[in-house]
Amino acid sequence: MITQLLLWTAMAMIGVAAALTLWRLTTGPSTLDRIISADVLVSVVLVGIGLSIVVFKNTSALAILLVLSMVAFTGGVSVARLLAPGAARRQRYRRDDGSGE
Amino acid sequence: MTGDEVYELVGAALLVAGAFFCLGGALGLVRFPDILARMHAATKPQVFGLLLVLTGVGVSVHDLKVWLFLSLVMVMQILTAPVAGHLIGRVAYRSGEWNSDDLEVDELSDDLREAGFTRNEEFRPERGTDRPTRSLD
Repeated sequence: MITQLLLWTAMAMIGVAAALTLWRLTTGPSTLDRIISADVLVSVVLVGIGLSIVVFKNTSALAILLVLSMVAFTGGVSVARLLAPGAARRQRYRRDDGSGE
Repeated sequence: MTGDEVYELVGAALLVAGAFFCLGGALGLVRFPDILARMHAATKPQVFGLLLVLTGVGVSVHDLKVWLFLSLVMVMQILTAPVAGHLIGRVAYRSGEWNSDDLEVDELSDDLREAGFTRNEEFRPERGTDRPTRSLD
C-alpha cells in the first residue's frame, strides 16, 4: 500500500520534472540552454525507465537503460563542438593574432 | 510484512528520492538566471538522482544479474556526464552567456589573460541575452 503510494508520487514528480525541462527546452533563450535541457530530459527518461522496471516488474528494459546512458552525452558534445568556432562577435576571448583559439 | 515487501518498500523510497532530485534539477533549470547556474542544477538528475533510482531498482528487484547491469549503467553515466558538462561549460564561458555579478571567483579569466587571450571588443552576447558582461581591465 505505502509502496504503491510512493511509486505514484515518484511518477508524478518525474512528470512535473519532464514538463519543466520541456518548457526550458522550448523557450531557450540560447542554444546552450536547450542543449542542457535536452541532456536533463534524457536523464529524466532514464529515471522513468528505471521506475517502469519496478512498476511493471519486468527487467527487459535494462538494455535500453544501458544504451541510453552510453550515448546520452553525444548530443551535448556534438552541438557544443559545432557552436565553439562561431563568428568573431560570439567569442568572448581570442588570441592576439586573431586566430580564435 | 514479508521480506519481499520490505525490499519493495525500501526500493520505492529510493525511487522517490531520485525522482525528487529530478524535480529539483528541473526546477533549477527553470528558475536559475544563467547557463552556469543552470548547469549546476542539471547535474542533479544526471548523476545523483539517477544513482538513487538505479539503487532503488536494484533493491526492489534484488537479483545479482540486475545489479551487474545497473552498476554498468552507473559507471557509464558517471564517465560520460562530465565530458558533456566540460564542453558545454567551456562554450558557455567563452560565448559570455553568464552574469559576471553572480560569480564570486573567476580564475579562468586570469588564466586566459596569462595565456595570451585578450578580451574581444567585437563581442556581443548571443541574441536573447542582454546580460551585462564584465571587462577584464
